[in-house]
Amino acid sequence: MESSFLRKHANRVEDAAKAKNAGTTPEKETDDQPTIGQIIRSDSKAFGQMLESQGNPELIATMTRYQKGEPTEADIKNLTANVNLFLETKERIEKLDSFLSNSTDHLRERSEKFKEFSKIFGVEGIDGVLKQGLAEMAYADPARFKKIETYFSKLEKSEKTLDDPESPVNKTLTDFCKKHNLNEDTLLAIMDEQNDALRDSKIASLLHGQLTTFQKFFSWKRSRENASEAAAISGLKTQMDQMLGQDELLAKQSGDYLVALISKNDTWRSALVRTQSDKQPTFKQGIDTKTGFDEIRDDMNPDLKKIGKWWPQYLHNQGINNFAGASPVAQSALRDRFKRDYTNNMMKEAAKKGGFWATVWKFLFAQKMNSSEIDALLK
Amino acid sequence: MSDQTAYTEIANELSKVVENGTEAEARQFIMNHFKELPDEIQRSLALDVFQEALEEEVAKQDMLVELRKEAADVINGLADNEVSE
Repeated sequence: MESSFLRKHANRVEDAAKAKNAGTTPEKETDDQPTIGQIIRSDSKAFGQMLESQGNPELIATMTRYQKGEPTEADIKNLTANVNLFLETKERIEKLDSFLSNSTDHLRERSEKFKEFSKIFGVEGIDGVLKQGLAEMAYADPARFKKIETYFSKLEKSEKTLDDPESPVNKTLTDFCKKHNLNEDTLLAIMDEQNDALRDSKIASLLHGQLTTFQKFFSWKRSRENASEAAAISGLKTQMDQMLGQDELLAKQSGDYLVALISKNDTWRSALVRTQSDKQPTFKQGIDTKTGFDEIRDDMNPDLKKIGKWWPQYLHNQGINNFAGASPVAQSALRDRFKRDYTNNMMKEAAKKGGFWATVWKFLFAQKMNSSEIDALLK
Repeated sequence: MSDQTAYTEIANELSKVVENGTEAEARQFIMNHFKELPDEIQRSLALDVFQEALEEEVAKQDMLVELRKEAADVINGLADNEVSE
């Protein structure tokens, strides 16, 4: 379904539809909701993408009847439902835009790769690129758009959790720091120390100042994990004595617990990742597996035999019985459509998980599909 | 040179890097020639990187919330332990 086609016929269609439907169910018009015709006129590309993304061939027939001014009652109902969906999606895009403006600065600080990309487009440029891209995604790939919405909503929720001064967790941690006189600046300096040896030595030095508290803390933690509580408590003194002589071990363990105590401070969070560079955090959820670099190497070249086999079948499915007799413009358009469909089909196998390298694959594969060798097969 | 010819050329060069080079080399090549790629691909790659950054941030935040909960549990347990002692 071509969006330009929708635009081209929009004016004629609306008038014809109204005339034809005088005796059937007219398209409802209200002051605050645009009609099907208005949407087609003003947002033809996006509306067309949305319908296309549903992959329902019946919609093509529906649109064709509508454009001829011969829609059935069911067609009008169907298109009205899609107009409503379109308008809802538009609202969701606006909502996401407002989140986006607040989050790109933060993401730039947190992701080197994103920061690098922002430099290419400029700070304002990248926001514009993303807004446009997300708006297109909302209509053309609603499942992916939904995923992005979910991420924003999760981020908002966890920010609230971390910032809530009334949360029992935050209260416990704040009280603990106060009670044991843990100096945030000292902790910050430790967590910010990039030299591993220096950091461990600073942690050990801090801990000797807080020794009793921390040793009880570690021992209790260990007792929970490794032994029954009673046994652990009875062995507490021994453990403490052993730990006194094991600065290195203590420093290492303390690092883990200091990490757990890290506050909402952004610099600390960054330090968290740095200090554990040899032991990257295990992300339990949230990151989808993407198509990897190694995966795209395997299927980068179009299979000429397969193309030679698919082409006649494709023509047949399109109802084209005399390709050679078609005009050069029609032939070229059909070849282009085949190349696009073939590339999309191959992408489902070679780069189905999406992501950066999947996009690279799509670009490279589509370019290879433009070779004269392929064109020679498509006749 | 037409846009299409330019895209074909850059695709040929990038193909060689992808087939023979490392991931880091391929990524660097893309960054160095980013503006030479078609607009649609530029937008798509920017969205991919943005989504990856967003996903990582969500995962880090989730992890931080979990860690803080665990720390609070330990502290509360320690307090109980002190009381029982």
